Amino acid sequence: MIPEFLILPIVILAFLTASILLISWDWRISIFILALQYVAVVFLVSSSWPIETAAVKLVAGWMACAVMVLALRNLHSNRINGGVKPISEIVFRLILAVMAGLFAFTGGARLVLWLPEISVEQAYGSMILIALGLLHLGLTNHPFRVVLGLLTVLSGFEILYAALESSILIAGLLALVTLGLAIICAYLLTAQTLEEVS
Amino acid sequence: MNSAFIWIIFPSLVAVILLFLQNRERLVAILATITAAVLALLAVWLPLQEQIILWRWVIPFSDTFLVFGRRIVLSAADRPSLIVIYLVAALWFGASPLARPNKLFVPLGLGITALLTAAIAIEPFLFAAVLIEIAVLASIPFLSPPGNKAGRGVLRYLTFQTIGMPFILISGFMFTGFEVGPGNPEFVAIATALLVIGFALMLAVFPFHTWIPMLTEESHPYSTAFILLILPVVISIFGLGFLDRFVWLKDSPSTGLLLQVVGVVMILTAGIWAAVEKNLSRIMGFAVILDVGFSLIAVGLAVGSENEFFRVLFIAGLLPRGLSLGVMALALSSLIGRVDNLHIADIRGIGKDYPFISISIILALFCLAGMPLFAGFPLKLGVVEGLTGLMPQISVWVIIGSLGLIVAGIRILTAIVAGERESENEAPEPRILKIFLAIGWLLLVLLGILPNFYIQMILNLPAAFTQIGPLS
Repeated sequence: MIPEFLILPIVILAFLTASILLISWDWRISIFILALQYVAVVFLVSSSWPIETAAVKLVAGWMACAVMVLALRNLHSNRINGGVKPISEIVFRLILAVMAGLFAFTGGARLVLWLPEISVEQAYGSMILIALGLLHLGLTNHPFRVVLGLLTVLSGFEILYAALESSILIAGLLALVTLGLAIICAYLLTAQTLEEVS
Repeated sequence: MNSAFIWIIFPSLVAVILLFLQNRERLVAILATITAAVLALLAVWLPLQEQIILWRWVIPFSDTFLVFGRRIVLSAADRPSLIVIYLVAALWFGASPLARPNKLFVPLGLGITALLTAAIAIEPFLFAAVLIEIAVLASIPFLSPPGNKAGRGVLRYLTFQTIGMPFILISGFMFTGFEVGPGNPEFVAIATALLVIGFALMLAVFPFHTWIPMLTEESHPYSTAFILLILPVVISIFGLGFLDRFVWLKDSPSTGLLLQVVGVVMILTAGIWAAVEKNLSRIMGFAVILDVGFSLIAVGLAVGSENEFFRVLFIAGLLPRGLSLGVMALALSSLIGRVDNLHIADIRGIGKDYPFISISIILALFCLAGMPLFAGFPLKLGVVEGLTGLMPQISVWVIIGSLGLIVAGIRILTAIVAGERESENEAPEPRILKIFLAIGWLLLVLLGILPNFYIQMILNLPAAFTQIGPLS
């Protein structure tokens, strides 16, 4: 269990990380923020699971980040970043992030009524990540960005599902999906180069 | 000895070994075909007993495998599914040297087959959604092979399948709260909506179907067709599991109606788009959407009328779909390198140079459209008749959708026979390819003329395993 006074900052951390992922164009910043997002996820999951089990999410998430770093550091940054975004786009994305956050705030309150097993903080945290992750997916068709969006959505879902299901098998399988997505991201970004080399 | 070891762990290990041998494509195809064929045969012949006697040895045999406190059960009831899945895999891997897909296709394809078998077997059955997702991840390397930029179709496929999984897991949890009967109507509505969205995303139901034509256009037709065949089959079995477990959901009149209406919309949209499409691979994608639409109507009719006949139609429909897709995918793969692009404009006049390939494309499309005398016709006729009995006004749209696919077939036929080819025929059709395609035609026509033969076989298949008695 996490101390009560930490819960609200962690929900805010989840919102901030997901929002920064939406606007950041440098892959190094994005992966650092994603790693930070997994810290928020673990704290929120630890409300339902013992911390040692919840740490599986952190390990899987950080391993996923490591896999992506290993793949991306050998690629030309233009292939990953797609250039600096104009300020108008960043503002637009931030407005969208705030709107998605408000939606998550209202949706989270409803969610607790439908699924009484989850706490209000978990509901907010998960809804924020799901909403912002979906928003991210809607705004990109770049493999790296798509996987970032998917990992964000999946993190939100994992917070929710941890409160409902405590099976070790499902925890392991979901960790495998997280890692699998990172490997697929690395593959999709490097596949073109692999063939060129061979 | 354990059934999970035979049909899940063993093929997974073989798949890993084949990954290391991937450069020896022919050897990999032979080994994978033998493995899949042997597993299909074992599903037919392995006795349903607690012991297997091999000469002097008595080997204890169980249908349950425990993993982290959860069970993987491959019981007698799963044997028909095992036969279908491994037989399809064997046929697909067997013809792969002719189609020449990416060299990762066969090893990963075998691994995917094992994963999807695990998805059918896992208990609680909800966890199947995660195993299906892992299978989807494993399919990406051969759908987007090295040397190619990741296409939008592949990314959309990955996105829709990944987002579908949480929807199903959450709704499944909510459903377990009212297993006996529905409780709070608002709660039920939310859970049902989540379930519908989850399956719509995973089964490429309208309006989430866009990834299918995009994927067929970007990826190799042979490997794409394998995924488009095996994935909907397993997801449909998973969906039927939901209906069988939650009887009130099955008994609800809106469930059957929803499935039927969604099926009709899929058939109509796929038919119209196919009729105006110019790319042959995309037409194959629309044909798959149309066929999945027919499957949904069959399931909807089975749920709505409590009539087992429509459930049989749903299962029986998988055979013509598999055959037609196999023939079409093999023919399209064979065209790669022989024509510039798989566009109607680029296949003008190929009928003279490549008659077997050309006829195969047309026959497969007509079969998928449900044209008389082909394997798809009797089953699609049964579905249309069932729908007409309930809602005659919307069954017309089903026929219009099928006509759309027939129009696509006629457009291709016109291009194949009417045009003049500019380039010389440099690579004639190999004899082995002709034999494979001719066997495909024969089966497509034979099953159309003698539908009772295989419908009877499908009816007897579950009984053949349940009569022997339970395993434990």
